[in-house]
Amino acid sequence: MTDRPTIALFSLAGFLVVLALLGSQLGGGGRAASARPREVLVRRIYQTTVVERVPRSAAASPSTGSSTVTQSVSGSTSIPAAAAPVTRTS
Amino acid sequence: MSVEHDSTFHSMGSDIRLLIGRPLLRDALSPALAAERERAYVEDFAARLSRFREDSELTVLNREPRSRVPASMLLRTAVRAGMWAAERSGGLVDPTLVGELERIGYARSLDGCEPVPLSDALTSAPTRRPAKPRARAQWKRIVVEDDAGRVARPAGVMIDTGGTGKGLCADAVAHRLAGYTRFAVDCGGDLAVGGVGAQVEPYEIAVEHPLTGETIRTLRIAAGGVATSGLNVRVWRTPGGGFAHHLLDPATGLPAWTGLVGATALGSSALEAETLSKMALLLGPIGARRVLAEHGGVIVRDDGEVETIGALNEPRGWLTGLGRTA
Repeated sequence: MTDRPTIALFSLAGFLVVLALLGSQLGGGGRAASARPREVLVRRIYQTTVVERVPRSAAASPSTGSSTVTQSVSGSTSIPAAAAPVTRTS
Repeated sequence: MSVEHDSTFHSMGSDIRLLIGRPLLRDALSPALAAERERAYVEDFAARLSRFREDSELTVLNREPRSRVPASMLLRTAVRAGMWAAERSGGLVDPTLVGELERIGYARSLDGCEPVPLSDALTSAPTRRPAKPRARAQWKRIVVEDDAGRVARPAGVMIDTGGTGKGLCADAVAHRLAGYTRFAVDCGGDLAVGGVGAQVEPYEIAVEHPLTGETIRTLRIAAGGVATSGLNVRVWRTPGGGFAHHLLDPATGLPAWTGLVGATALGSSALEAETLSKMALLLGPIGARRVLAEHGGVIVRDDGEVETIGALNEPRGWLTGLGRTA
Protein backbone atom coordinates (compact mmCIF):
# COMPACT_ATOMS: atom_id res chain seq x y z
CA MET A 1 0.00 0.00 0.00
CA THR A 2 1.30 3.38 -0.91
CA ASP A 3 1.12 6.29 1.46
CA ARG A 4 -0.02 9.81 0.52
CA PRO A 5 3.43 11.49 0.36
CA THR A 6 4.61 8.87 -2.08
CA ILE A 7 1.60 9.45 -4.32
CA ALA A 8 2.22 13.16 -4.20
CA LEU A 9 5.89 12.64 -5.14
CA PHE A 10 4.94 10.40 -8.06
CA SER A 11 2.39 12.95 -9.25
CA LEU A 12 4.93 15.76 -9.07
CA ALA A 13 7.52 13.67 -10.88
CA GLY A 14 5.00 12.83 -13.62
CA PHE A 15 4.09 16.49 -13.97
CA LEU A 16 7.77 17.47 -14.31
CA VAL A 17 8.34 14.80 -16.95
CA VAL A 18 5.40 16.08 -19.02
CA LEU A 19 6.64 19.65 -18.55
CA ALA A 20 10.13 18.68 -19.73
CA LEU A 21 8.69 16.93 -22.79
CA LEU A 22 6.62 19.98 -23.72
CA GLY A 23 9.61 22.26 -23.24
CA SER A 24 11.85 20.14 -25.45
CA GLN A 25 9.17 20.03 -28.17
CA LEU A 26 8.80 23.79 -28.06
CA GLY A 27 12.54 24.32 -28.58
CA GLY A 28 12.74 21.79 -31.39
CA GLY A 29 9.67 23.31 -33.07
CA GLY A 30 11.48 26.67 -33.50
CA ARG A 31 14.37 24.96 -35.25
CA ALA A 32 11.97 23.02 -37.42
CA ALA A 33 10.17 26.19 -38.45
CA SER A 34 13.41 27.85 -39.56
CA ALA A 35 14.32 24.78 -41.60
CA ARG A 36 11.00 24.66 -43.40
CA PRO A 37 11.08 25.39 -47.13
CA ARG A 38 9.96 28.87 -48.21
CA GLU A 39 6.31 29.27 -48.84
CA VAL A 40 5.08 30.89 -52.00
CA LEU A 41 3.10 33.89 -50.92
CA VAL A 42 0.01 34.33 -53.01
CA ARG A 43 -1.20 37.87 -52.60
CA ARG A 44 -4.60 39.18 -53.34
CA ILE A 45 -4.40 42.57 -55.00
CA TYR A 46 -6.85 45.30 -54.18
CA GLN A 47 -7.08 48.45 -56.19
CA THR A 48 -9.13 51.38 -55.06
CA THR A 49 -9.18 54.61 -56.99
CA VAL A 50 -10.40 57.77 -55.33
CA VAL A 51 -10.62 60.80 -57.56
CA GLU A 52 -11.07 64.09 -55.80
CA ARG A 53 -11.62 67.13 -57.97
CA VAL A 54 -10.23 70.29 -56.43
CA PRO A 55 -11.71 73.47 -57.91
CA ARG A 56 -9.09 76.10 -58.53
CA SER A 57 -9.76 79.69 -57.54
CA ALA A 58 -9.61 82.14 -60.41
CA ALA A 59 -7.38 84.46 -58.42
CA ALA A 60 -4.81 81.78 -57.82
CA SER A 61 -4.72 80.56 -61.41
CA PRO A 62 -4.93 83.00 -64.27
CA SER A 63 -5.13 80.26 -66.88
CA THR A 64 -7.26 77.16 -66.97
CA GLY A 65 -6.16 74.00 -65.26
CA SER A 66 -7.46 71.03 -63.36
CA SER A 67 -6.25 69.08 -60.40
CA THR A 68 -7.09 65.68 -59.00
CA VAL A 69 -5.74 63.33 -56.39
CA THR A 70 -5.49 59.71 -57.39
CA GLN A 71 -4.99 56.99 -54.83
CA SER A 72 -4.29 53.38 -55.55
CA VAL A 73 -3.76 50.51 -53.12
CA SER A 74 -2.15 47.43 -54.50
CA GLY A 75 0.39 44.69 -54.34
CA SER A 76 3.44 44.72 -56.57
CA THR A 77 1.86 45.38 -59.90
CA SER A 78 1.69 48.24 -62.33
CA ILE A 79 -1.13 50.58 -61.43
CA PRO A 80 -2.03 53.31 -63.86
CA ALA A 81 -3.11 56.69 -62.57
CA ALA A 82 -6.69 57.89 -63.03
CA ALA A 83 -5.94 58.21 -66.72
CA ALA A 84 -2.69 56.93 -68.14
CA PRO A 85 -0.29 59.59 -69.37
CA VAL A 86 -0.30 59.80 -73.15
CA THR A 87 2.55 60.45 -75.52
CA ARG A 88 1.33 62.20 -78.63
CA THR A 89 2.30 64.75 -81.21
CA SER A 90 2.34 68.27 -79.82
CA MET B 1 0.18 52.11 -51.92
CA SER B 2 0.55 55.25 -54.01
CA VAL B 3 -1.22 58.55 -53.74
CA GLU B 4 -0.69 60.98 -56.54
CA HIS B 5 -1.58 64.54 -57.23
CA ASP B 6 -2.69 64.93 -60.84
CA SER B 7 -2.80 68.43 -62.33
CA THR B 8 -3.04 69.77 -65.86
CA PHE B 9 -2.51 73.25 -67.26
CA HIS B 10 -1.74 74.85 -70.60
CA SER B 11 1.68 76.18 -71.49
CA MET B 12 4.21 76.00 -74.35
CA GLY B 13 1.31 75.60 -76.76
CA SER B 14 0.38 72.27 -75.17
CA ASP B 15 -1.25 70.66 -72.18
CA ILE B 16 1.21 70.08 -69.36
CA ARG B 17 0.35 67.32 -66.91
CA LEU B 18 2.05 66.59 -63.61
CA LEU B 19 1.58 63.40 -61.60
CA ILE B 20 3.30 63.70 -58.24
CA GLY B 21 3.42 61.03 -55.54
CA ARG B 22 4.07 61.38 -51.84
CA PRO B 23 7.08 63.32 -50.59
CA LEU B 24 9.99 61.25 -49.33
CA LEU B 25 11.03 63.83 -46.75
CA ARG B 26 8.79 65.05 -43.97
CA ASP B 27 9.48 68.74 -44.53
CA ALA B 28 8.97 68.65 -48.31
CA LEU B 29 6.13 70.52 -49.97
CA SER B 30 2.88 68.62 -50.36
CA PRO B 31 2.34 67.24 -53.89
CA ALA B 32 -0.32 69.89 -54.53
CA LEU B 33 2.02 72.72 -53.55
CA ALA B 34 4.86 71.11 -55.50
CA ALA B 35 2.59 71.04 -58.55
CA GLU B 36 1.92 74.77 -58.16
CA ARG B 37 5.63 75.42 -57.80
CA GLU B 38 6.40 73.42 -60.95
CA ARG B 39 3.62 75.09 -62.86
CA ALA B 40 5.23 78.45 -62.12
CA TYR B 41 8.57 77.01 -63.24
CA VAL B 42 7.15 75.74 -66.54
CA GLU B 43 5.40 79.02 -67.29
CA ASP B 44 8.59 80.95 -66.59
CA PHE B 45 10.55 78.47 -68.75
CA ALA B 46 8.09 78.94 -71.61
CA ALA B 47 8.01 82.73 -71.36
CA ARG B 48 11.78 83.06 -71.37
CA LEU B 49 12.45 80.62 -74.20
CA SER B 50 9.53 81.27 -76.54
CA ARG B 51 10.42 82.11 -80.14
CA PHE B 52 7.06 83.81 -80.46
CA ARG B 53 7.34 86.34 -77.65
CA GLU B 54 8.94 89.69 -78.33
CA ASP B 55 10.27 89.96 -74.80
CA SER B 56 11.69 86.45 -74.39
CA GLU B 57 15.38 85.91 -73.79
CA LEU B 58 15.53 83.78 -76.92
CA THR B 59 14.06 86.53 -79.10
CA VAL B 60 16.51 89.03 -77.64
CA LEU B 61 19.36 86.64 -78.44
CA ASN B 62 18.16 86.09 -81.99
CA ARG B 63 17.82 89.84 -82.66
CA GLU B 64 21.17 90.72 -81.21
CA PRO B 65 23.60 91.81 -83.93
CA ARG B 66 26.66 91.08 -81.81
CA SER B 67 28.14 87.62 -82.10
CA ARG B 68 28.62 87.23 -78.32
CA VAL B 69 25.51 87.81 -76.25
CA PRO B 70 24.97 87.64 -72.48
CA ALA B 71 22.67 84.75 -71.68
CA SER B 72 21.10 83.44 -68.50
CA MET B 73 21.80 79.95 -67.19
CA LEU B 74 18.41 78.79 -68.49
CA LEU B 75 19.04 80.13 -71.99
CA ARG B 76 22.54 78.67 -72.06
CA THR B 77 21.16 75.32 -70.97
CA ALA B 78 18.46 75.40 -73.63
CA VAL B 79 20.97 76.30 -76.33
CA ARG B 80 23.27 73.55 -75.13
CA ALA B 81 20.36 71.09 -75.24
CA GLY B 82 19.70 72.08 -78.85
CA MET B 83 23.34 71.51 -79.71
CA TRP B 84 23.31 68.17 -77.89
CA ALA B 85 20.29 67.08 -79.93
CA ALA B 86 22.01 68.15 -83.13
CA GLU B 87 25.12 66.19 -82.21
CA ARG B 88 23.06 63.15 -81.11
CA SER B 89 21.09 63.17 -84.36
CA GLY B 90 24.04 63.78 -86.64
CA GLY B 91 22.67 67.21 -87.53
CA LEU B 92 19.11 66.14 -88.36
CA VAL B 93 17.57 67.90 -85.36
CA ASP B 94 19.06 71.27 -86.25
CA PRO B 95 18.32 74.22 -83.90
CA THR B 96 19.34 76.86 -86.45
CA LEU B 97 16.48 76.52 -88.94
CA VAL B 98 14.58 79.58 -87.68
CA GLY B 99 14.78 81.45 -90.97
CA GLU B 100 13.54 78.40 -92.88
CA LEU B 101 10.64 77.91 -90.44
CA GLU B 102 9.61 81.53 -90.79
CA ARG B 103 9.80 81.39 -94.57
CA ILE B 104 7.34 78.49 -94.77
CA GLY B 105 4.87 80.24 -92.50
CA TYR B 106 5.82 79.29 -88.95
CA ALA B 107 6.76 82.74 -87.72
CA ARG B 108 4.02 82.85 -85.10
CA SER B 109 2.60 80.36 -82.66
CA LEU B 110 0.06 77.93 -84.05
CA ASP B 111 -1.39 77.30 -80.60
CA GLY B 112 -5.17 77.12 -80.97
CA CYS B 113 -5.05 76.96 -84.77
CA GLU B 114 -6.92 74.05 -86.26
CA PRO B 115 -4.51 71.98 -88.38
CA VAL B 116 -5.53 71.14 -91.91
CA PRO B 117 -6.34 67.46 -92.51
CA LEU B 118 -3.09 65.55 -92.72
CA SER B 119 -4.61 63.19 -95.27
CA ASP B 120 -5.00 66.14 -97.67
CA ALA B 121 -1.38 67.15 -97.13
CA LEU B 122 -0.16 63.60 -97.67
CA THR B 123 -2.06 63.33 -100.94
CA SER B 124 -0.27 66.29 -102.44
CA ALA B 125 3.11 65.77 -100.72
CA PRO B 126 6.18 65.21 -102.88
CA THR B 127 8.03 61.91 -103.26
CA ARG B 128 8.95 60.47 -99.89
CA ARG B 129 12.62 60.49 -99.04
CA PRO B 130 14.77 60.63 -95.91
CA ALA B 131 15.91 64.00 -94.63
CA LYS B 132 19.61 64.81 -94.45
CA PRO B 133 21.69 67.15 -92.33
CA ARG B 134 22.71 70.50 -93.74
CA ALA B 135 26.10 70.40 -95.42
CA ARG B 136 27.35 73.58 -93.76
CA ALA B 137 25.83 73.15 -90.34
CA GLN B 138 25.52 76.41 -88.44
CA TRP B 139 24.89 74.75 -85.09
CA LYS B 140 28.52 73.62 -84.99
CA ARG B 141 29.54 77.26 -84.79
CA ILE B 142 27.55 77.98 -81.64
CA VAL B 143 29.58 78.19 -78.44
CA VAL B 144 28.12 78.35 -74.95
CA GLU B 145 30.48 80.25 -72.68
CA ASP B 146 29.45 79.42 -69.14
CA ASP B 147 32.31 81.23 -67.44
CA ALA B 148 31.48 84.46 -69.23
CA GLY B 149 27.72 83.82 -69.12
CA ARG B 150 27.37 84.24 -72.87
CA VAL B 151 26.30 82.50 -76.04
CA ALA B 152 28.49 83.05 -79.08
CA ARG B 153 27.34 82.39 -82.63
CA PRO B 154 27.96 83.93 -86.03
CA ALA B 155 25.95 87.13 -86.35
CA GLY B 156 22.64 86.42 -88.00
CA VAL B 157 22.39 82.80 -86.93
CA MET B 158 19.12 82.42 -85.08
CA ILE B 159 18.46 79.60 -82.62
CA ASP B 160 15.22 77.72 -82.04
CA THR B 161 15.05 75.86 -78.75
CA GLY B 162 11.52 74.72 -79.54
CA GLY B 163 12.62 71.44 -81.07
CA THR B 164 14.02 70.26 -77.76
CA GLY B 165 12.28 72.58 -75.32
CA LYS B 166 9.49 70.33 -74.13
CA GLY B 167 11.80 67.40 -73.49
CA LEU B 168 14.27 69.62 -71.67
CA CYS B 169 11.49 71.14 -69.59
CA ALA B 170 10.10 67.71 -68.68
CA ASP B 171 13.56 66.59 -67.59
CA ALA B 172 14.11 69.74 -65.56
CA VAL B 173 10.81 69.39 -63.71
CA ALA B 174 11.45 65.68 -63.15
CA HIS B 175 14.82 66.55 -61.63
CA ARG B 176 13.12 69.02 -59.31
CA LEU B 177 10.64 66.34 -58.23
CA ALA B 178 13.33 63.87 -57.17
CA GLY B 179 12.13 64.07 -53.55
CA TYR B 180 8.80 62.39 -54.31
CA THR B 181 8.01 58.70 -54.42
CA ARG B 182 7.19 58.72 -58.10
CA PHE B 183 6.33 61.32 -60.69
CA ALA B 184 5.46 61.77 -64.35
CA VAL B 185 5.95 65.05 -66.16
CA ASP B 186 4.07 65.31 -69.44
CA CYS B 187 5.00 68.34 -71.52
CA GLY B 188 2.65 68.07 -74.45
CA GLY B 189 3.27 64.38 -75.00
CA ASP B 190 6.97 64.41 -74.17
CA LEU B 191 7.28 62.65 -70.84
CA ALA B 192 9.85 62.17 -68.11
CA VAL B 193 9.08 59.65 -65.37
CA GLY B 194 10.97 58.60 -62.28
CA GLY B 195 11.07 58.11 -58.53
CA VAL B 196 11.72 55.08 -56.37
CA GLY B 197 8.03 54.23 -56.36
CA ALA B 198 7.95 54.05 -60.14
CA GLN B 199 10.50 51.26 -59.98
CA VAL B 200 7.97 48.98 -58.34
CA GLU B 201 4.89 50.57 -59.90
CA PRO B 202 5.93 51.63 -63.39
CA TYR B 203 3.78 54.11 -65.24
CA GLU B 204 1.65 52.88 -68.06
CA ILE B 205 1.89 55.35 -70.92
CA ALA B 206 -0.43 55.23 -73.88
CA VAL B 207 0.88 55.89 -77.38
CA GLU B 208 -1.65 57.79 -79.45
CA HIS B 209 -2.08 57.14 -83.17
CA PRO B 210 -1.46 60.42 -85.01
CA LEU B 211 -4.23 59.81 -87.53
CA THR B 212 -6.99 58.17 -85.51
CA GLY B 213 -6.26 59.32 -81.97
CA GLU B 214 -6.61 55.74 -80.73
CA THR B 215 -4.21 54.14 -78.29
CA ILE B 216 -1.96 51.89 -80.34
CA ARG B 217 0.47 50.72 -77.66
CA THR B 218 0.83 50.91 -73.89
CA LEU B 219 4.35 51.27 -72.52
CA ARG B 220 5.42 50.43 -68.97
CA ILE B 221 8.12 52.85 -67.92
CA ALA B 222 9.82 53.16 -64.54
CA ALA B 223 12.44 55.77 -65.36
CA GLY B 224 13.52 57.84 -68.33
CA GLY B 225 11.67 59.51 -71.14
CA VAL B 226 9.26 58.89 -73.97
CA ALA B 227 8.31 61.31 -76.71
CA THR B 228 6.32 61.44 -79.92
CA SER B 229 6.90 63.52 -83.03
CA GLY B 230 4.33 63.75 -85.75
CA LEU B 231 2.93 65.78 -88.58
CA ASN B 232 -0.70 65.88 -87.55
CA VAL B 233 -0.79 68.87 -85.20
CA ARG B 234 1.33 71.55 -86.88
CA VAL B 235 0.39 71.28 -90.54
CA TRP B 236 -0.99 74.19 -92.54
CA ARG B 237 -1.66 75.48 -96.03
CA THR B 238 0.92 77.73 -97.66
CA PRO B 239 -0.06 80.84 -99.64
CA GLY B 240 0.87 78.95 -102.82
CA GLY B 241 -1.79 76.32 -102.15
CA GLY B 242 0.57 73.64 -100.90
CA PHE B 243 1.00 72.19 -97.46
CA ALA B 244 3.71 72.63 -94.87
CA HIS B 245 4.58 71.32 -91.45
CA HIS B 246 7.18 72.17 -88.83
CA LEU B 247 9.64 69.26 -89.14
CA LEU B 248 12.13 70.41 -91.72
CA ASP B 249 14.70 68.59 -93.78
CA PRO B 250 17.85 70.54 -92.83
CA ALA B 251 19.37 69.88 -96.25
CA THR B 252 16.55 71.62 -98.12
CA GLY B 253 14.99 73.83 -95.47
CA LEU B 254 11.59 72.48 -96.50
CA PRO B 255 9.11 70.20 -94.70
CA ALA B 256 10.28 66.60 -94.65
CA TRP B 257 7.97 63.99 -96.22
CA THR B 258 9.62 60.72 -95.39
CA GLY B 259 6.83 58.17 -95.38
CA LEU B 260 6.17 58.48 -91.67
CA VAL B 261 3.49 60.58 -89.99
CA GLY B 262 4.50 59.75 -86.43
CA ALA B 263 7.36 58.33 -84.40
CA THR B 264 7.49 57.53 -80.70
CA ALA B 265 10.82 56.93 -78.99
CA LEU B 266 11.95 55.89 -75.57
CA GLY B 267 15.14 57.30 -74.13
CA SER B 268 17.14 57.71 -70.99
CA SER B 269 15.64 61.19 -70.71
CA ALA B 270 12.78 63.09 -72.29
CA LEU B 271 15.31 65.18 -74.20
CA GLU B 272 16.87 62.08 -75.70
CA ALA B 273 13.47 60.56 -76.46
CA GLU B 274 12.36 63.78 -78.18
CA THR B 275 15.57 63.87 -80.19
CA LEU B 276 15.26 60.23 -81.22
CA SER B 277 11.59 60.56 -82.18
CA LYS B 278 12.32 63.56 -84.42
CA MET B 279 15.34 61.82 -85.86
CA ALA B 280 13.28 58.70 -86.60
CA LEU B 281 10.53 60.68 -88.29
CA LEU B 282 13.02 62.63 -90.38
CA LEU B 283 14.81 59.49 -91.55
CA GLY B 284 11.70 57.62 -92.65
CA PRO B 285 10.84 53.96 -92.05
CA ILE B 286 14.21 52.38 -92.80
CA GLY B 287 16.32 54.83 -90.83
CA ALA B 288 13.80 54.89 -88.00
CA ARG B 289 14.25 51.19 -87.37
CA ARG B 290 17.96 51.73 -86.84
CA VAL B 291 17.47 54.81 -84.64
CA LEU B 292 14.81 53.27 -82.43
CA ALA B 293 16.43 49.88 -82.06
CA GLU B 294 18.47 50.85 -78.99
CA HIS B 295 15.68 52.03 -76.66
CA GLY B 296 12.59 50.95 -78.56
CA GLY B 297 9.85 52.89 -80.28
CA VAL B 298 6.81 52.93 -82.52
CA ILE B 299 6.48 54.33 -86.02
CA VAL B 300 3.34 55.10 -87.99
CA ARG B 301 3.48 55.16 -91.76
CA ASP B 302 1.62 57.52 -94.06
CA ASP B 303 -1.06 54.88 -94.59
CA GLY B 304 -1.58 54.55 -90.84
CA GLU B 305 0.19 51.24 -90.46
CA VAL B 306 1.88 50.84 -87.08
CA GLU B 307 5.24 49.17 -86.55
CA THR B 308 6.80 48.43 -83.17
CA ILE B 309 10.57 48.53 -82.93
CA GLY B 310 12.60 46.98 -80.13
CA ALA B 311 11.38 45.44 -76.89
CA LEU B 312 9.07 48.15 -75.62
CA ASN B 313 7.91 46.53 -72.44
CA GLU B 314 11.19 45.29 -71.06
CA PRO B 315 11.53 46.57 -67.48
CA ARG B 316 13.50 49.81 -67.41
CA GLY B 317 15.27 51.33 -64.43
CA TRP B 318 17.58 50.14 -61.71
CA LEU B 319 14.94 48.53 -59.51
CA THR B 320 12.55 47.28 -62.11
CA GLY B 321 13.23 43.67 -61.17
CA LEU B 322 11.11 44.26 -58.11
CA GLY B 323 8.18 45.04 -60.31
CA ARG B 324 8.30 41.71 -62.05
CA THR B 325 5.82 39.06 -61.07
CA ALA B 326 7.50 35.73 -60.44
